[in-house]
Amino acid sequence: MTPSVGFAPQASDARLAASLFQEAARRSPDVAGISRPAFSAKETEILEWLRAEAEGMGLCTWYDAGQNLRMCLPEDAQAERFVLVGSHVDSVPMGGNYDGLAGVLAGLICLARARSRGERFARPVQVIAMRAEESAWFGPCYIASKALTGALSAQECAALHRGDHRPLGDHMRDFGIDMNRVQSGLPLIDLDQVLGYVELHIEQGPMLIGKGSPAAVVTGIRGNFRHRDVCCSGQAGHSGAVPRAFRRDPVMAMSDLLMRLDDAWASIIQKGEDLVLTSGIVHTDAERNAMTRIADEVRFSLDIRSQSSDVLKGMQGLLSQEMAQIERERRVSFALDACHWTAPAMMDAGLVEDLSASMQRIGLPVVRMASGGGHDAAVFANAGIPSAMVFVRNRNGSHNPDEAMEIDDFLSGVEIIYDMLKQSRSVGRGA
Amino acid sequence: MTKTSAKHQDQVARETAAALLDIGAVQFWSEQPFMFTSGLASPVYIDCRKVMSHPEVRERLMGYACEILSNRIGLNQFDALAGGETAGIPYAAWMAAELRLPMQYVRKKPKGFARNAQVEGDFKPGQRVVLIEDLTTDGASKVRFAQALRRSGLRVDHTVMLFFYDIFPETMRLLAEHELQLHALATWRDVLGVAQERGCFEDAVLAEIEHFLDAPLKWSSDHGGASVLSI
Repeated sequence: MTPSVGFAPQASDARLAASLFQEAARRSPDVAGISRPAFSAKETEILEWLRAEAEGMGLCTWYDAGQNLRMCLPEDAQAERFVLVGSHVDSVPMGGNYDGLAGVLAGLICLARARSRGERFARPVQVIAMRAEESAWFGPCYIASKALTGALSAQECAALHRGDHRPLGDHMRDFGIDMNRVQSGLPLIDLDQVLGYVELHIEQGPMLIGKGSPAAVVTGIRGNFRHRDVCCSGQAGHSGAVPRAFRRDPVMAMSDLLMRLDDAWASIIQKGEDLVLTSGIVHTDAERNAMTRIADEVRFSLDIRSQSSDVLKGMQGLLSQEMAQIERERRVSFALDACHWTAPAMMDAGLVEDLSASMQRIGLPVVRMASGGGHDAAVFANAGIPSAMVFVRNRNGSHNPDEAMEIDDFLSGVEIIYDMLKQSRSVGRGA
Repeated sequence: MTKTSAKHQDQVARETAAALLDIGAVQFWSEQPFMFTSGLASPVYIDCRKVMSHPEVRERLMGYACEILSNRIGLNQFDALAGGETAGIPYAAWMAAELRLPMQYVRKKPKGFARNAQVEGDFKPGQRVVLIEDLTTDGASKVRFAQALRRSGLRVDHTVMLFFYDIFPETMRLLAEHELQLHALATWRDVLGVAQERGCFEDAVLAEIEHFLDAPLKWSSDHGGASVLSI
């Protein structure tokens, strides 16, 4: 558990981090794990609690035009340009406590430490605790960062909440966000002020476990395209009476499609390309359907990710081609809902170098890796803001109650960012 | 085995390796590792199917494979050749044509549940067949093919292929357990040897491949692939 290498976190930092994580979890319980829905009163409660904590530490706090919490050292409050450090506070339902929150607390601990030690950063720093990053609540992902950078589409604003079925735009308006601006594709903040964006996040895959390093610098982030609700319709019938040749079975058609995609996936990665795909929601209507009835309709989701835009475009082409083929062969029809697209993002080479140098300075082996999951950092990067991420070793993946990050590993990640913020004057050289 | 045949075997391995490199059947890792169906991440990828598109190479390698059938196995030791779906089929066909032997092919999955649902072509129970394949990584699919052939009443003692990874000690144990003898024209060591001599790849790339060949599962897990072999 303790990093096998020469970095020992301070006991006071460890106590602070542990108590903050604990309090956040206590405030957002679910049946299993924790829940912090996007654009909810719970999310606001968490931000308000963070705000009180930050003010207790003598930091300045306010809400930005996206209604995200900002925090900074009093001496940086008037800074023209600044480095943004942070992540999101929302979670998936029955999620883990670390996904997102760890990045916010990393920033807060950097500020707290600078404040208590009387240290200054090389460039002014603002910490951001964003809302709405998870797609679980509305469909679109990275909502807050997209809104800040003017990248939230009208189609995404129209996406409906999974619970109350009201559009995202209405929810955002309720929170006091200028939706005219968002819907015109205008950034909510002056992007020129942001020198760079740095985000700490738990690693969501198994790559860092067993590597002997508690953290890694991220080099790039997978993009994705998603369909939340694909519908395949055929014809209902009696499960005993209709011979195969007469069937138009949407469940078989969907399985056929998924197996074709799976075959393509295996060949694509065999040739060294990056790709993952998931169909996490699959259902026939349990009210209408039965064991003895051929379903008339099946609905499912598709989540297709890659570090390469070409692979994503190729998969979009393949998807429509295979659907057309299956429609002919099985006499069904597929209806795709809106496609949510997030481009893959490269992290800023300068920031990656700076973070790697910091890793080395504090005695950690330099590990670099690509990110499988998508993150707000990808949105900032695609908005032209030099961005970078630090991953912290974590067992059991993310988006589940069993996320297991060691506080010492987390503090190694914090140390990398703190060192970089103190040392690197070059942040944002590309801005 | 006589000394000359061992020498000849070595010559065959080098020529096969050189031919595979020549036709671009061997690809080395640059940024992303190759991911096999088994979940194994690898810095090298070999596509033996390319051999069928190069008549001169194909003829030479088929000649070598036929030599294995006649010299190492013995033409009186078997009655037919069975190609493994998909890539084993054309090679089995060319060799069967050359040696004027009956041929079948064996499917990856059964079509239905009949005893012979996985074997296509005509065959008699008790017939002795040699399983023909393009390559084997860990040996698992050879064993599954052999089991399918045996379920259909055929006898399989040997499998012949163009390329054998030869990196997992488990493979030979697995094949021995299933009484299957493996014969291949070349392995990764042969390809690496020729690539080193030619100096056509950077030292760093070759070193990475060495690491993989020496400890494939460690390399795999360090690069996001499987850390255990389930064969």
